[in-house]
Amino acid sequence: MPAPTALGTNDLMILLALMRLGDDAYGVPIGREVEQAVRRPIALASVYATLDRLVERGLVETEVGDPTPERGGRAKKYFRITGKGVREVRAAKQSLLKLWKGLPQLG
Amino acid sequence: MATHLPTFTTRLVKRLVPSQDHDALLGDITEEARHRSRLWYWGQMGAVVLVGSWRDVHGRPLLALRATVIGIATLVVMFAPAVALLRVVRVLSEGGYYVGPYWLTLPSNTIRWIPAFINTVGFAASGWAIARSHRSHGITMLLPFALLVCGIPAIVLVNLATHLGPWIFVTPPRIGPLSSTLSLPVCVLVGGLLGLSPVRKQQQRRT
Repeated sequence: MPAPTALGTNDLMILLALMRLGDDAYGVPIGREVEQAVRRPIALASVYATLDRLVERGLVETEVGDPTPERGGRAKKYFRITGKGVREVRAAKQSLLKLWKGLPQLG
Repeated sequence: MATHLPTFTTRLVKRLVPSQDHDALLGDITEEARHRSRLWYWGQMGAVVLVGSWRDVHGRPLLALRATVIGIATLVVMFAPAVALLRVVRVLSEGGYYVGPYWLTLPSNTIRWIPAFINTVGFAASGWAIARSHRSHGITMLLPFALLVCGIPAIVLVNLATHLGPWIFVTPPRIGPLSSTLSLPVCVLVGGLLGLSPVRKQQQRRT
């Protein structure tokens, strides 16, 4: 069983999508970024489930935007990676690179 | 995709999974649905219900356990008198019985459809009882019990496969029990939806 602080693949993909999107990171573009990366349709509900888990862990913070008519009068929820989140991503990258080294079949 | 479609379904999702805050998520789906197919839209809505239910159950395991126990208890309460009723129906449909000067009897095929009727009512009642006792959670607390009930068709399928081998799919007379048990999870869900419906009236009265 992984330690509670370890980042899963979904967590890592969402955090990287947040870093790429910057200030415009809300559900729709985050979903598109992940879809382009995995090359298959994804459920926005599962993206939100991951984001909520990351918010609970303090890796992501949220901000509510203004409601717009094309969204049925519902407000956007913007997500931003925190300093702790960036550190977790760096640590995950280091761990993966360490494991990656010395594997010619993955070169 | 038509823009009027989301209004009904978003209300439905809020009814089915009321304990989660879906506002931003539903807004995202509404916005993206303009560029996507209906299939995508309905898939996303189904995912909202399933993921929301899973999160609700995962966050409140004891409540989910209680809901499942209520479902099983309802089945026991419903089926205890049903067994006695079945005995009476069997006697009446296999000949009949004299009560004073009267000859009480039933058509011989009654014994075939009575169990299916009892199953339908019993499982729908269990779904109804769970939904009524967990109204603030919509249908989320119904899902563990529905999954448990899904195990019944699996057991029947394994049992049939053990006895008949791969021929189970080409021997229609033996598929009867399987098709009737496959309908049990559906009965649970329909009962649950019926259990939710009075909430709306109560909420309207309050407002």
